[in-house]
Amino acid sequence: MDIKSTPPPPPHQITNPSRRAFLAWAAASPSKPMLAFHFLRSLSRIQGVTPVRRRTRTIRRAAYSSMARAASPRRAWSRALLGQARARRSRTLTGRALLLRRRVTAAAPAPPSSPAARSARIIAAGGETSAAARPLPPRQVGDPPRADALRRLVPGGAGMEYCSLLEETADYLRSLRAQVQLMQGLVDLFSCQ
Amino acid sequence: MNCGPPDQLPPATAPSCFLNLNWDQSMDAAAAGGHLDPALSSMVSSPASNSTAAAAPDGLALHGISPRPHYGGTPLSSPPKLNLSMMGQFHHYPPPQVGGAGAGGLPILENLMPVGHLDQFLADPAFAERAARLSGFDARGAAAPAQFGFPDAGPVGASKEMELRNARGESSVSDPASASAEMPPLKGASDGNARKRKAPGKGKGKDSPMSTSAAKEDSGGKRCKSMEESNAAEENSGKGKTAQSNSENGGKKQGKDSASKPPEPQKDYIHVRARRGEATDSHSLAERVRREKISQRMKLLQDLVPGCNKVVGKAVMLDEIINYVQSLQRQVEFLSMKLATVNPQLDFNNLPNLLPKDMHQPCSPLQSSHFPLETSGAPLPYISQPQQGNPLGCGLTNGMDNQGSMHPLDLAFCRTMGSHHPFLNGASDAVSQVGAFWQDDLQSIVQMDMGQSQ
Repeated sequence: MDIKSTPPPPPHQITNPSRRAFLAWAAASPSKPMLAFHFLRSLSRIQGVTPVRRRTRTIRRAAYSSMARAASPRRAWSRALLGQARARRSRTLTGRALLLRRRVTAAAPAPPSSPAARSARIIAAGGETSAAARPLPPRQVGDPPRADALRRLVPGGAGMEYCSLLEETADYLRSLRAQVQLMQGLVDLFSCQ
Repeated sequence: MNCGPPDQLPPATAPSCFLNLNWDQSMDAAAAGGHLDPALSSMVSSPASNSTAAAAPDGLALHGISPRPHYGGTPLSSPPKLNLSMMGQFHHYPPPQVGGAGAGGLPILENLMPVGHLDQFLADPAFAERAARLSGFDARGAAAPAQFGFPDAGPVGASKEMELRNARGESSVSDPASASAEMPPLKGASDGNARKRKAPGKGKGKDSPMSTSAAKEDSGGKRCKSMEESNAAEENSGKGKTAQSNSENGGKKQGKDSASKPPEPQKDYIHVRARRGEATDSHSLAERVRREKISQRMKLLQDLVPGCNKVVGKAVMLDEIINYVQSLQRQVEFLSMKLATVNPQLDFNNLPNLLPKDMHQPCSPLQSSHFPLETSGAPLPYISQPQQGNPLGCGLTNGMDNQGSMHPLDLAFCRTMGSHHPFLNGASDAVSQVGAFWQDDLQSIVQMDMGQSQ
């Protein structure tokens, strides 16, 4: 392991506008360093491991997961996001199902005929959908007309009253905006080199 | 054609007869309010001198309106608004000579509708409120809206007018806030009430300023009693989610109320004061609280969503919010695609720099350390430092969820950072901070590494 022989610039010269901008951005709100930490950590993992064709999806999921982690666990949307990630992981990574999925993807888009795969997938899918198909609270009949679109957009919004849906939307918007700013900053940082 | 002899105002016969014609039509068909209004306006705008008969146009309006529920035509709501709003405008005109027409019209209408029905109609709180507003429009109160004044009518009309005036006087002092439609005969305070009722009458339509719409006048104990009743009803029903109104809201009133109900502020749920002109039962109060919460949150969202300041209205706001959320999500997707294609120049160097001390402070403690995001040369060799010793195959492709698998990775980070780090003086404390955050054994390993690399 050799060090590249570029002499390190003294620390006080590294006040780059991008660095300053990043520090200013990170100091703007208390959750942004957390966001940066989680997201960068998962990014670094992804870059090394995931094949290129699925990297977009993985990075996107990592973005939402890091958003959920940086947010307060009191928020319903963060809990919903983390629950989704966990369900996805449990669905894809139960041992036999993983093997079967690899076999299926290798065998092109033919639907799997093995009962084990089907049952595993059905069980996992059933677990997820049963969680999602809980009866809605009756308050939702009094919603304004476009409220269901908002419910679909905000994670975990299906089971909430309209009032708390608005509050969750506000928090979700703040967090989304921070995430977008972070990702945009990263892209700028690495595309200008 | 029983168009009475309008001795004062010959030209008014035509309008009155016209009114009568329209009246007959309105008896049969529904939705003849449109016909009625021009007739009324023509009648009222024609000049009348006197101010004796107070409520004849109101009576006409009343009669114009009241048969409708009996004849099952139009709904009661729309015509009263039309008629009374038009009536409300009439006070700008010089005192019209409606007398003859009115007097002529009255006996006509009397045949159609006894006055007793007026009470039923006056019991409508909405109408009572509007009548109160009307009475507020003229400064003379119940003495007479001279605009609607009639000349000295004939004896037939006079008696009816007196009756109507009494009825209207009652309506003018009726408490619009009480849905129980009690008509307190506070004629003494009616003038003062009428004058002061202008402001709350106008302010009733506003949503937010509860204090302005609160009854600032002291219209006797009746209003206090209705407020107390509403509060008592709400407390007894045990509603726990009513919002606290502004403290200056009827400060005088609270003085009276608190004297009669001392335990009110000590309860632990929030109190709502029913505004003037609104229903006071617990359902509508809770509904109003909910609506105010919703509007509060919409304001919050309005600040968050850019460019929403000029948008007014909940539906459009909701659309804007939805669009903004969708656009942000699309941006996340797009940026993740870009990050996927970017070369992995990032990672190891970035990560320790961005870690604050205990994850809750901004990056200021790390400012002394390097920030080689912009130094492209240094990061590149780091990439050759794969996560060798890391069981990354434990399926962490979709982001981190369990903390347990983190440690080998972080160990690798520390090792690489410690070994390749050109800025060791700055990095040492950063790494030690990070290590302190992670775990003690990791920290020892890190320091060992750093000692080796140095």
